[in-house]
Amino acid sequence: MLDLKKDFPVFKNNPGLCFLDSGASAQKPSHVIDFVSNFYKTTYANIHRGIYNLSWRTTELYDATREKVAQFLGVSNPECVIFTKNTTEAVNLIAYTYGETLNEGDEIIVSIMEHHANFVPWQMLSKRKGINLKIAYIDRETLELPLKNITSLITEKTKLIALSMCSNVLGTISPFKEVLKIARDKGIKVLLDGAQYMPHHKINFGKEGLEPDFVVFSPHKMCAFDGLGVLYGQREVLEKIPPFLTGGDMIESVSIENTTFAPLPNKLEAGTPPIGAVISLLKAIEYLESIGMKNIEEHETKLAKEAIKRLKEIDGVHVFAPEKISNGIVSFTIDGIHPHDIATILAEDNVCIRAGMHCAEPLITFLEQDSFARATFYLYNDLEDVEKLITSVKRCREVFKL
Amino acid sequence: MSMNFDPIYQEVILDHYKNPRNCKEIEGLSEKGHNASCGDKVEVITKIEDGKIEDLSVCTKGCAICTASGSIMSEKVKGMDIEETMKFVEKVKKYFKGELPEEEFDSIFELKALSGVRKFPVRIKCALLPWITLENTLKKEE
Ligand SMILES: Cc1ncc(COP(=O)(O)O)c(C=O)c1O
Repeated sequence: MLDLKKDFPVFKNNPGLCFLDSGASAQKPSHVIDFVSNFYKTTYANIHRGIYNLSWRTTELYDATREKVAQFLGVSNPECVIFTKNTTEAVNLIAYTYGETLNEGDEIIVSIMEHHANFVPWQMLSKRKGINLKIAYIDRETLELPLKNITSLITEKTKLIALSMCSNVLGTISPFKEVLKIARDKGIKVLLDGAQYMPHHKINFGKEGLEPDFVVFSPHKMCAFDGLGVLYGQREVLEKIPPFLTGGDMIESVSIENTTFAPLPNKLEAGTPPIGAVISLLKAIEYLESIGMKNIEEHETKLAKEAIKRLKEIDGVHVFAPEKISNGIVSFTIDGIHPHDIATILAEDNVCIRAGMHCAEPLITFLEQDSFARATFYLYNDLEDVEKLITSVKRCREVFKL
Repeated sequence: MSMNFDPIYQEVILDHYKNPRNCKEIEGLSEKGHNASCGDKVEVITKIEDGKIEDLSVCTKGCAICTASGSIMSEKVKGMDIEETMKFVEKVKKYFKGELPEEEFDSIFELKALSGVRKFPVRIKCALLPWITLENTLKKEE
């Protein structure tokens, strides 16, 4: 088992903290915080434009992060790694650029388990352009997303499949690898929402011979700072699409009449980016790799399995997870207690979970639920956290006299 | 260790949660309220006669705090006239938000019991939802 709380100052500063909400955003290790803090004390300047040493050194770190991300994803073209504000903005970037090239009658497939970030932009686009939005359903019993539920929706009109690699509510891993292969043969573009996948799993797209058209994720869920999202895209698409935001840093030349745009990645990174957050990602990936993505996956899966086993032993508790889990996501309900009341009682015990719809209302509705309590385990959690969760869940039933 | 006293989920709150009062079918002005962050839903129906809340129905679907708050509200405002109700709602809102001292509702122990939410800012919205929904109805009525 990993023993990493010592690497994360938040635990030292909050004795007894049982943090089970990393699925929303992860805590930051000293390795990341200290480096960025030192960077601001010694090196900070704006990137790109400066001729002087500080700017130049900042630019080097900024570009090194882009290369690190490309290496992390197993792709060979760092200039196709675009920094955005978050996953949500990355999806919107594609919806408002590539999406606008689609035509009335075209079809987009999404799954029912999408986070609103990978659902609403496509729904809006569909309404704007008269596009048909088709939904691939999960199996209500197994909570898995069978490949055929996606492929059976494909027609000649299908232009895009926007698919979560991992559900933020169920932990269900989608058959994205198979989808990529099938879509490629048919000339359909695929956008993968990796917000819940990248922090927990190793994926080397290049080595596996996979070429997703777009991959988006949120570094704040993988120990980097907040304020940053990543979009990776195939060069030919990114080169073809118009810019999303326009203004500074993304131009080649501007006259009173006209503007020409800078090459990738700058064309898609208008304005001053969140420099500190970008650099924090360099250190966060370094940190995660030093622990080992495989070890992280195994560790959190072990904790989640233990939690699921123990939760199921409690009367009236229902866990919503597929049989085969490979991450730390555990959603549950307790008969007779609303998830918000569960989260409130847990909060009294310093156990931090999330309750509600988890920005996945279509999924919650499909499962005929009102809301879920969700605990998410990450690399710094341990068996003691499982114990605290279970004790506190039992206390919920006592408080409610069930 | 058995904890039978919780600062928020006290006996009276649980009672109103498990047996909400006054969720019934009546004729009147209907107003729906929704808390997007947690999915709490409430429907308040008021029957106004001669400027008075002659009868009301409060049906909630949500957490214990919202449900209990709605149930307690239904018992407290029945029979009040509109102006009086508006003033009362205003006071309750201030109370939940912590703008009035905790002793303010010493005489209305159900509302005092709800004061535990003052420590959980996110949950204040749950307690407020029925009251705000009622307020919206009355504004229309006025
Ligand atoms: C699967 C999934 N997609 C997208 C997002 C949105 O990420 P962000 O809030 O960083 O834009 C989240 C975050 O909760 C998520 O879990």
